[in-house]
Amino acid sequence: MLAEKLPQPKFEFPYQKDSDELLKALNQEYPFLEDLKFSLAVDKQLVQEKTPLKGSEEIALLPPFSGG
Amino acid sequence: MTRKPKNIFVEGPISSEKIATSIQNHSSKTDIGAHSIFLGQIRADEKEGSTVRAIDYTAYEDMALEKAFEIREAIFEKYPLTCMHIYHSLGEVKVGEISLFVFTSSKHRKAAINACEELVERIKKELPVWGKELLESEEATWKENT
Repeated sequence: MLAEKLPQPKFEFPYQKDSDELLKALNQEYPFLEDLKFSLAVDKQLVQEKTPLKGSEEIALLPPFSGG
Repeated sequence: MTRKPKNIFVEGPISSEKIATSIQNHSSKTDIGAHSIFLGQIRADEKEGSTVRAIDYTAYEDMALEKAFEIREAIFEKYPLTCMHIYHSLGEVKVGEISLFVFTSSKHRKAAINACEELVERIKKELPVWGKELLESEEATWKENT
């Protein structure tokens, strides 16, 4: 649902110093994200609080899970 | 040696043969006195004036396997289990077919039953897996866990 709206399912994004800045920048670049519910994962770990970034991390935008 | 995450994903539905074989495979483990099994089946929900005919599952596989491993370790820590197996479908699973198979075994029933329930709850809540509901009308909606 998210991947369908983004230009590509995987892409590089300009460096941001932490997860809060990254979210802000993503929302600016893709304003439709504001209306979507998703959580952020950094290197396969769900972000619970502001997380510093190095720039090489794998970031994932995860819509609400619906497995099972 | 650190244990590596085991694959839990199965392409397509989980067959009743797989479930039967899995039960059979435990007959040699004679310290087991109780098995608890949860099977998730695709339900023909009414959606947007149509009916669900299948669910197409996708996952963020690497993260899901890491998370499943973490949950597995935590449940083993919490309950005196002999065995634990988790299988989840990827791809299309039709109405009436099985997409989740959780299997716990222990000496006595309480541990198997409680562990199985907790596993299912955590799997549904914490694994990055998504189900796209395919409708009879050829439309699709994204499933939401309740």
